[in-house]
Amino acid sequence: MRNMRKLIALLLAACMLMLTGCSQTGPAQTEAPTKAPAEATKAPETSAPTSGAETPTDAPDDGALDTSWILEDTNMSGTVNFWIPFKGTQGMDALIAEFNSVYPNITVNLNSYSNGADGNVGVNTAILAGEVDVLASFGLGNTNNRWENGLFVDITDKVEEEGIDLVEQWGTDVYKYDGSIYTFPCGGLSNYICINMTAWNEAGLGELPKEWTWDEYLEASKAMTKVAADGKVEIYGGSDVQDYSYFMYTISQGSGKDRLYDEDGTSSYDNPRALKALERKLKAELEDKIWYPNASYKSDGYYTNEAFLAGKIASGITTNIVRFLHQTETYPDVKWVTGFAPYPVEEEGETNYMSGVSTFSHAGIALNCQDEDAAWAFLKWYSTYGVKYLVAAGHQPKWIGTEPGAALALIYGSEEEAAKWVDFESFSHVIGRTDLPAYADTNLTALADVGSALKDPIMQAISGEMSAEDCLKQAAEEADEAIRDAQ
Amino acid sequence: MKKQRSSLKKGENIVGWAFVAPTMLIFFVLTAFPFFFSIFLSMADWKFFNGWDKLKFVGLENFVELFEDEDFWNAMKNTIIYTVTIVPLSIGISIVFAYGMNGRIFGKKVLRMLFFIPYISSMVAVGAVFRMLFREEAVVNNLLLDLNLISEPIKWAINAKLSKVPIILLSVWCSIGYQLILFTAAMQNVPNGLYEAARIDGANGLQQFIKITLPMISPTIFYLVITRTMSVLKIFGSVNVFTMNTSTKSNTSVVVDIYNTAFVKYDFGPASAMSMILFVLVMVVTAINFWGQKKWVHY
Repeated sequence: MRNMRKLIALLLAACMLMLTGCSQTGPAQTEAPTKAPAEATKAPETSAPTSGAETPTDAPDDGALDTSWILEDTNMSGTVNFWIPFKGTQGMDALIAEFNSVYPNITVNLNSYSNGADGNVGVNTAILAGEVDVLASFGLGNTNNRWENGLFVDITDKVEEEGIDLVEQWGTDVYKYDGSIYTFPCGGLSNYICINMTAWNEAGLGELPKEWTWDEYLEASKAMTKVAADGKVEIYGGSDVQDYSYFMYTISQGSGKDRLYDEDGTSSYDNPRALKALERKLKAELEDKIWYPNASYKSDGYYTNEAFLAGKIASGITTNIVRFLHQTETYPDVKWVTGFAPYPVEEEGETNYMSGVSTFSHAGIALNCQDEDAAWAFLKWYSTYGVKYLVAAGHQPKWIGTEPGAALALIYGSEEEAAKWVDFESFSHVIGRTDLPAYADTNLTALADVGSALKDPIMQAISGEMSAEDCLKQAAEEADEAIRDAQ
Repeated sequence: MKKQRSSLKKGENIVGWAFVAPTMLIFFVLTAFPFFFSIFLSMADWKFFNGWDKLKFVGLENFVELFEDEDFWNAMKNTIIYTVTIVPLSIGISIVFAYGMNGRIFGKKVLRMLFFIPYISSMVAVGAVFRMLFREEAVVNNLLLDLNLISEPIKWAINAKLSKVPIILLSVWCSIGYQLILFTAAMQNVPNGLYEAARIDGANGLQQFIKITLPMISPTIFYLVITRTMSVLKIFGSVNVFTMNTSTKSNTSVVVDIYNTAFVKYDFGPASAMSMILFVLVMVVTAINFWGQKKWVHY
């Protein structure tokens, strides 16, 4: 009897050990696999494409853009684990449904991850575990980190073999690492200013500008700012992005490349344009009080989009507000039509490299991919015909073949529905303009360290504890040291 | 008979080993191996994803670089500030509360439960609540403004001088419940006769507390000083949650630095070297505490 008890206890202990060993945390927010090809149904109506470049089944040559390489044997079968920071309802179900209408025998499992620091650590761990086949990597810092650490499969040979011209397809071929291609630069962002049209019209500001300078934007911000009788600001007329280093994009706006690096390879924190931009920002936020203070964004963990949607700012620089405007349950305060104006320029007549769609997300085949043929077929399709679905999440397609005007329908369902929320004319003029100049990142030396060099001094600057000049001087010293170390 | 006993003993030994085997296996795989591997990695240049063939032995180079690394020493300074504030504050407050609740007090059990709730709550949830409390236009600033202690709201999360304050308060608040339970148990073990004798000798409440209660609960205080010091030297959760993974030089800690080096930059060599330095620090502080306890702990 005693031995029996021991035996049972031993078995229980062994079982517990096995359970401990077998249990593991699954991938972040893993969604159920999409339906098997035979069951695949059409995408939900809200995100179904009503326009845009739908995949032609026989990939016809449109005469201008070579699309012959995109589709492979559409009868091939396989499974692709696709990781992207968006959920099925954010256009991804529709993306997979359209892909399955072309490749009915490839099952695509969608895994939505959080694009924060911890979420990206989770993705990288999943790559090592062989759980990722195709990854849409968001942000140059994250993508560069994966290039550096060999987390993407080198696709240079495949690209050369199939004659894929990166410039022809996505407008740029600078996103390589050590001369090799690991990803397609297929996803982008438009940088623009969203404007509460009620506030704009009340301030008597007339037509929305097709192009403007920072001084003009400051004037408009001042006109839209509402101050209470006790001197407290009720509504700020304008706002920078909550990201502490966003003002540095003034350099990309003028040069068409690297916001954080000068031509000589040193950091651009000592660039006069950076100083001008930071001084302007601090004056608008701390002295004139016409922009929502960045210190409050950082202190409260608040975002520019949230401030705009809550009516706390009348306008603000953003990249993806359009995806939120019609979400009335989450943002019930939005009772106005939103207009759009381009990212301002420093001097009138300057080329605005922030007016086009700049590369933001990259897609590639992950290390330890389980089914490379299916993954390659999916990667090619996602990076071209599929990438238009990013607009449902506020991002923009970089693929040149995307039909202009697809965005509104994908986000709001129809132009009539979109008109309830957005000013159609300014939307079309400002957002998703792959035909306008865009910047590209050509220098990635010690990117993470150069970026974080600004983190501490900027906190003091936006709190009014440090001057713009001292802030940038301190950041430049730290960044240049990081660049020297890396070289 | 002797042979039978021997085989029985042998059988019992095997069963005994089988019982401890799961725990031993877990210990070796999850504790002993990572520890010794960290020592090895602290002397290597290795990026997590680069594979074994790119692992390069660099001797003490990582340590030399760390000694010249201003950010690391800044994180170390913050960690020490956290330790010398959180440990005495949390233990002091717990003793006072435990002493207050040791006598006859209305709703004692409910109060104990309320104090214990933060300890069993998720740090993420508690951190989010603290983050809300310390927002620019939230309770803490409003209270300070109403009391005329400040003239304008403090931006707690980004203020270089004050950004550690919410993190310290969060850590103190979360640990009070557990310590309170231990101190209450310790105080209930103090013989009533000692207090009666002291009262007869004319000792007031404060004198009784200092001369009787504190010495009698000193083993518990010592235990908590050791465990809390070890725990706060490894502070991570409250910093990371309160700063939402965007800690700055003014509030980062060594373990946050280790995490970022290992899991954001994937630089396991320097991260392991930092861990080793922290390990030595924890060992030294613990040894000093053990050496010092002879003078003030009464068993």
